[in-house]
Amino acid sequence: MGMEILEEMSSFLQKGRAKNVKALVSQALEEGIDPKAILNEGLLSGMMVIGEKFKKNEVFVPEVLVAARAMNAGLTILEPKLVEVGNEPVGKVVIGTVKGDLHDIGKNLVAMMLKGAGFEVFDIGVDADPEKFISEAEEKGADVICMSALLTTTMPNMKVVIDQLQEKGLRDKYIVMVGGAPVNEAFAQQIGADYYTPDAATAAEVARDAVLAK
Amino acid sequence: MEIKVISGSKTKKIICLEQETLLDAMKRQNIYIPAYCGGRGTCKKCRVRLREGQLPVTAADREAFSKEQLEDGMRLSCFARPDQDCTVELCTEDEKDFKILTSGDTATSDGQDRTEGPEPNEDLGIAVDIGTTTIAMELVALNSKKVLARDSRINHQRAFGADVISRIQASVDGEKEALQRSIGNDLLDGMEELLKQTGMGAERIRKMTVAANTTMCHLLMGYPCNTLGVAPFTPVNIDVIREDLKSVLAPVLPNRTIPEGIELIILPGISTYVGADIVAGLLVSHFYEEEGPCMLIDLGTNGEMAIGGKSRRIATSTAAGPAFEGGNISCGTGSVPGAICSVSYDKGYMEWETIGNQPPSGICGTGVLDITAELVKHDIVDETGLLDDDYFDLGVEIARKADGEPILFTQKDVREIQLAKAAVRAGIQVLLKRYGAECDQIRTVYLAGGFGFSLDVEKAIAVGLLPEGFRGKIKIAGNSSLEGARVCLLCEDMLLKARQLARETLEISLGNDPDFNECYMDAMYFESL
Repeated sequence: MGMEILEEMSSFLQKGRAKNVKALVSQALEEGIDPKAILNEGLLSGMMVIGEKFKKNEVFVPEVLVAARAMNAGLTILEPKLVEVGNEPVGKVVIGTVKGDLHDIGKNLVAMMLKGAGFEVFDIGVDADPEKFISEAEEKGADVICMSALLTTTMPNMKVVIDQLQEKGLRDKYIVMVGGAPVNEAFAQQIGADYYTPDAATAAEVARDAVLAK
Repeated sequence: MEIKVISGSKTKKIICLEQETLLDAMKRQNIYIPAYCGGRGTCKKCRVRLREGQLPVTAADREAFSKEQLEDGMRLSCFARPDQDCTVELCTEDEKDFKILTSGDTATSDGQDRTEGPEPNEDLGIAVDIGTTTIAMELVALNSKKVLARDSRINHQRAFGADVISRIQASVDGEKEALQRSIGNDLLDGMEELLKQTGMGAERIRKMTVAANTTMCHLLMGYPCNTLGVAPFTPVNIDVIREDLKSVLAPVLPNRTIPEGIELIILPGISTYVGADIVAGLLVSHFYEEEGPCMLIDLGTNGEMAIGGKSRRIATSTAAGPAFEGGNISCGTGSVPGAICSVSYDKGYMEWETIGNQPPSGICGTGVLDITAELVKHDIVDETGLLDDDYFDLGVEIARKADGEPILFTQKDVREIQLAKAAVRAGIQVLLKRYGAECDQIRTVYLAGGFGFSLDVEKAIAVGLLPEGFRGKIKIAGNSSLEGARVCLLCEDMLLKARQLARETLEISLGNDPDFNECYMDAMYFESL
């Protein structure tokens, strides 16, 4: 019942048609469809398709961004209803680009894919102090800390955050993920991060699996 | 461990220390092979082939090479740690053949062209452009203002990484002196070559003017680079620098003869990412007297650009990445003989030309641009950048190498071009917006640098790298950095003008600019904005 409208929603979302997605979310709510079903089968499923295609190079950054824009449009209407029915996010993520680095497109992509995987995302922006990552994570009760760096010269600041977590005795409390063009698996292991992922879609999957396994 | 390194017909023995990587050992013993990624195991440019003995296969090797290649002896020298004597063979393309732009006004620069001799005992000077990849030099007679000889060579610092960021990183990681030694040797080698060509003595050289990006200037001067690689990207010194060449280089080159009495003059820069090479470009494009608005665009790994005229100017830089130099492209290569440099597509066939008409070995920047334009034009790539189903999995075959191996252009390559061209185009759009000009109002667009010199302007417009509005206004500036160094060598007044241009040009940062992000997304598609 009502599945067709959710499929339609998902397909509009994949095309980045924000207005149509918004209208269908309202319509679905009026028809009395469970907000959780709208979220999972209408919005997030569409975002997952986009993520998969992005991983395979079938779609590119702009398509992911317009799809995410459409998802956000739908979410603004859906979120109050989700709160009413007591829907819990998969987990909470604090994400930012490390100190000294001003690149934000890659970080934004990951943030959107995380949202698309059902996370609540707190974005602390670019050039973020190590202290900011930690205080925000503590304050919001985050499960995951995601750090991005696009310069080999700023990559070492990822380690600074991990070291500070260690010093404060908070390291085991968080799943730490790192990414960005110059980052690789070897570097992630070297600085003591939990996960490195090569692209935004994989990041969201890995974060989801890691939180569910926690 | 003793390692025999074979390069072509030559063999050199080097010593590799315990736990030292083969790449580091080679660098230490003056064998400079490219390591674009700075030794992180990703670019594969530093690969060697094991000929005799054993060299353990590393995890990086397994990632980089197929089983057959590993059995064939392929290893990444940046990760290889020999544990016994062995013999390896270098696999890099022959550097000597690298096509380097030496002058803005001569189409063929083979490094040999020479004009008439100078007046007897006339003072001489040397103009230098230090590019991140290549170095171009000219020996100039200061009085008669004649260019007596030209030289071009590889910047051997590329053994420390291909782009400025990896050089900065290497400097911060303790290689500051090694980097200064490398550029010092390159400059002195170039100087000796220029003197040899003309049969003149070093004692007649009075000055050497240098134009280069800010990082290259810092590395030459031996300045610390710690602040160049992190926001807010503060340079140590970007004003005009005047020093005695010998006193700058002698500390890192104690065993080399350095001529006395040569004044080293480095042109001023605008910021860490808009350097003296761009100021040189503004200077020779007469921005100081131009009503404007004009634009100067240097298409390299960092696309630097400026807009304006004599009354005001804005400049910026945008991270285009190495795609236009053949980097990060699956069958990409530098501008070497055999590189596919021009491509057209007709009735299902790719027609191509290579540099030097050699058998095809890979695709260089202009070839990459041409292929993209042709694929878009013939709907093999759609406006979002998606390759047609028929080609999606394997890519489009452009040509075959002599040994029958196909040269492919893949979906991932299209994505790399989209990122590169969008960064440049978005930079142009934001500069126009900040300056308050429309495309149509721009009077002249100067394209600087090697890629700008050889690219097909129509193809650049077709893929959206440059706006339609630039059609008919583009002037190829060639190596304007070298030219700027030359005019400053010949006229002190020009150096003052350069200083004024540098000081009175406002730099804007695109890093966090919301307009930039929006333009960047728009410009990723293949359609006019």
